[in-house]
Amino acid sequence: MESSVKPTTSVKLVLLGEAAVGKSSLVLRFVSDDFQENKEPTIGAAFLTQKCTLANRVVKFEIWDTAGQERFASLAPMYYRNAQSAVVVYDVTKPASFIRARHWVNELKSQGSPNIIIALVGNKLDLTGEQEGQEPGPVVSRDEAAAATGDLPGRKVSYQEGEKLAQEEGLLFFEASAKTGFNVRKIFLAIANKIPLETAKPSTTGQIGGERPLELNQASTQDTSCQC
Amino acid sequence: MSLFANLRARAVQLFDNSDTGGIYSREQTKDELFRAKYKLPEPETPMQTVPVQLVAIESGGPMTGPTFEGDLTLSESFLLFECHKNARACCFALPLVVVRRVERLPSRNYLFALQIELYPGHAIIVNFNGLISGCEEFCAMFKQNLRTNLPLAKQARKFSTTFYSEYMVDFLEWKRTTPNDEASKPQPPEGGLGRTFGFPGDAKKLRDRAKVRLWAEYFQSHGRNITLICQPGFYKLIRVGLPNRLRGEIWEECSGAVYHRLRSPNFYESMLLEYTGQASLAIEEIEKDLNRSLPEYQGYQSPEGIDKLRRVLTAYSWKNPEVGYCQAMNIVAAALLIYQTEEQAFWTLNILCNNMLPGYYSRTMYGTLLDQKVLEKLMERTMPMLYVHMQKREVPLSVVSLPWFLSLFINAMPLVYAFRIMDIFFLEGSRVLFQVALAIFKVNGEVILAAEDNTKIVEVLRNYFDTLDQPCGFPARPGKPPVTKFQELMVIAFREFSVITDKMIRGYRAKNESQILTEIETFAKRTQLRNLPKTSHLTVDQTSLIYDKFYASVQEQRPGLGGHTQNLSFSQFLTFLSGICLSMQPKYISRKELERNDFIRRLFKNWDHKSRDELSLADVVAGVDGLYSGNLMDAMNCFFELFAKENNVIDENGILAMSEAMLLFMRPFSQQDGLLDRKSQLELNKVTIEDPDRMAAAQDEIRQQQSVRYLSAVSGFIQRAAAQAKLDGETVNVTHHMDLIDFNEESDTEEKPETRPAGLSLPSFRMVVLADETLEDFFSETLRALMDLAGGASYRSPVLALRSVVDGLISDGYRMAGEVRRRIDELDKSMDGLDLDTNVTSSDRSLLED
Repeated sequence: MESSVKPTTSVKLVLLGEAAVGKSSLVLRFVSDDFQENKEPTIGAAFLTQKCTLANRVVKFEIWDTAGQERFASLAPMYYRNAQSAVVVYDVTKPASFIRARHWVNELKSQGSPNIIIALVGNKLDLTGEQEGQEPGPVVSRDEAAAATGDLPGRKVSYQEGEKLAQEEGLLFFEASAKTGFNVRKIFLAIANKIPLETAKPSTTGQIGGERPLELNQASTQDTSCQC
Repeated sequence: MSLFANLRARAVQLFDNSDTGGIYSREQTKDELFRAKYKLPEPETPMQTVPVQLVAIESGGPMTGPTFEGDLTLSESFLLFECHKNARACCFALPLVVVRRVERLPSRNYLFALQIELYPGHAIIVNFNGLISGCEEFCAMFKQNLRTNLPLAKQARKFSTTFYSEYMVDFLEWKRTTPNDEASKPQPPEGGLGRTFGFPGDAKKLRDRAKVRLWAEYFQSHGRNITLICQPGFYKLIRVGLPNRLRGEIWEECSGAVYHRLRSPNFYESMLLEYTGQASLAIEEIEKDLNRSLPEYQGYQSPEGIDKLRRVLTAYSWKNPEVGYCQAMNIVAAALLIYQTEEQAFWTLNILCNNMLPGYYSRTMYGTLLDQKVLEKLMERTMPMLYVHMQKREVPLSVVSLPWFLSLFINAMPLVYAFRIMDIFFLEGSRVLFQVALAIFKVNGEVILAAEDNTKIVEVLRNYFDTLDQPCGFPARPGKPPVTKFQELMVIAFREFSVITDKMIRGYRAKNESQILTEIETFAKRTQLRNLPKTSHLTVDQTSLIYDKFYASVQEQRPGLGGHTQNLSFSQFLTFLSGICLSMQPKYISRKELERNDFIRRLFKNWDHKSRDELSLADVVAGVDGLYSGNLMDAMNCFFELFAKENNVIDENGILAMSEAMLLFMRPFSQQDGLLDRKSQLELNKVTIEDPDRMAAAQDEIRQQQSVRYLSAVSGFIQRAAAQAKLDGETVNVTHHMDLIDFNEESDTEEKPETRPAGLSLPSFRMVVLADETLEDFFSETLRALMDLAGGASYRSPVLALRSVVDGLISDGYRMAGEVRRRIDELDKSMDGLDLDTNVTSSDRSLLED
């Protein structure tokens, strides 16, 4: 195969977002092109890998899929440490999940690796009842949108809201559906394309990223150091 | 130097052993140890203990048997025994309600003996061999306790029918005596989902029937459920894996959950009833996960299973609002419900989350994080090579093992094996999780060492779990099936890692707890501060200080433990205020007065944007930000807003209330021994420079003047504000009157212009304030100066703070010693050649000239 001669870059990617927005489902779609209706919640984090073949190289994603519940947030630094890319997911039918996404973006900007590539993803587009791939229409009031979609919960976060946040913070932005597969590969391809060629995976000894808050693997010699 | 090092080591030792605000650093009390040992509910306490020789008499057996030397303990409603030599040889915790008869036996060798008959038919003979007075006292107390527990005995009979073990024995009895009488055939009690939807695993392969027969035999002779006497056979039967129909019951008995169910009948039902229809964050979170809990199990594809799971998790969240719901609890509860009834699962979940794995599922999950740290320490101790290797990896070990601990291996291993581990876990406690985790790493150690990247490690472990039923390659004994990987794992976990003891784990927990809590607290603070709305006047440091004072007022325990309350109640608000504003300190105002103060109530109500009768951190920060503006106009607006009515004016009562509020703030300046404000300070400086001797006298005088100045400023304010309000009121009335003429010409004659209450508008308020210099100063700077936002220390337990002081002192000592040595060295050097004397004096002189 031609791809075997292409250089391979390993990229650490972390998925963040509120509980049950479909983080694991996006990964499952990307890694195995599969979908499970009732996927068990991720406890702590799950680790998966998948390759993305580009024109001139192969990007190997090392994906850390994290637990979404608020109280697991203090574990997140363990996973996003040294991550070169992140996918922050929200559910287009749940406004609260969008607020949470905003918090994650802030946290990554201030605590993540510098130059981390972040993609903001509004998942569960299938639940809006909109035609996939259609141009985002004018801003519809929430009630109208809900009414138009019958039994479906309907869209509660507009495309424009997501796009605006992405523009303000310089993020990639997609609306996707892990269930139908719409736009899922695109997210990872877009990230892969933005990864600079020379950025090999940072060496295990070198520390990039700022302060590390929740350090679980501190060397034992630091045990007695005081907190002053 | 060695003196310093010694001193430091001692100090550190002293501090490390003392309370740092965690749950493990504290010594357990005698009562707590007692309850933990026998898994008893609160408030059981050891009332009396006597040394005895005990004989367990099997039901229907001869009146003799092996004797056990041990301690017999009486608590409020239990009788407990533990064999001295080996606790596993014979031990029990019998609720007094199961005692049917107590008889004093004639005894030759002993002082006296008791025969205690229990309801199911077995008995124990107790030979007392302590001092006679102690034994008599014990017996008297025993009698008394039996009497107090008597009213509950009837309920206990009914309680025993909820156990499958009871049914088993009854059924065997029925089969033996009246097998043809269908009417008297006993019916099995309610059970877990497994009875309807099937139990995981192949019952035949698991030799379920044989196990049931062995248990039936044990129950018949040694008692069952709450009358169980634990002897070696009991532990053996657990180790080989529990049979499906008894699993739920034995889990409940081993964990002690059964005693809670016994103690609080109907609690579960009434809990659900009480909160019917109420919403909470926990419920929202539970709903998200109901369809995602063991979704492959048939019972959870049906509404019956889902409803049970919902009720158990919801009831738990109402009973433990400080924990609420944590992901992974759904998986654990789903597992319990396959084998247990809702009520059993509810109590078992309570014991599991609160007693067996404290802090695991809490808001901060500190228990989980702490135990991952402990696991690393244990690994470092038992498998240093592997530990070093994992340390070098970019990803810490805990990433792999954390989900195991949180979900009791349920989401890692095939269910049958996870349940086998749970069988032992409920008996032995959290140590089992460490032993199994270490064994997993041990078995896969070589492959992990050889793995080139994380992907490989995860893959190896996943593959290992999937093949636990396969032969491990260890030669089987002739005629026996090959040893499976799971069996190998069990042997390594409980034989090789038997060196891991509860005491060792507790030691590591105590040692690392404070660090984990500090890390959590640092993280939580940073996140919360980042997500606060922007402030216009407060700096980052000041907001951080408010954060500390907020949490210091809201919680008595360390925030890292994840207590329930996240918002300030009114009373906590008072504590917060006295910590943040000079005028609200106890020195100037008593707590009672503060509680009744009208202004404080207004402030609380005004800051409480969501009208929840409590203040969030965001509310408080926004509120203080307003008061702290230091900008004359903003401060006046902020104050005005507190007293303004809906029509945006302040009425007469409001003016009085406002002046009282000003007086409250001004207390530090108006009291006899109060502080000096800027103006007074300037005056004092002037006097001091002019005539230093008069300073003390002048100080009193100036203070007196200042006091008068403040009081008259406020009284002037009342007068002028009242006059202005009246004027404002008249203006309003005039315009109103004109309106009437314009629009209501016909009714003009009938309706007299109504007299509106006089009110002070914002512009008039400003005018009145600006007319007085002291008041102007008050709003433009005094108010701000009264806010005590200069500190910078983050939350720290007193001991930690003290420790850092000592550390500081000692490092200062080192530095000083180093400095002294350096100077002596320099001196020595300079003495060698230079003319030291002249050099120093000339530099001294130049200093003086400066």
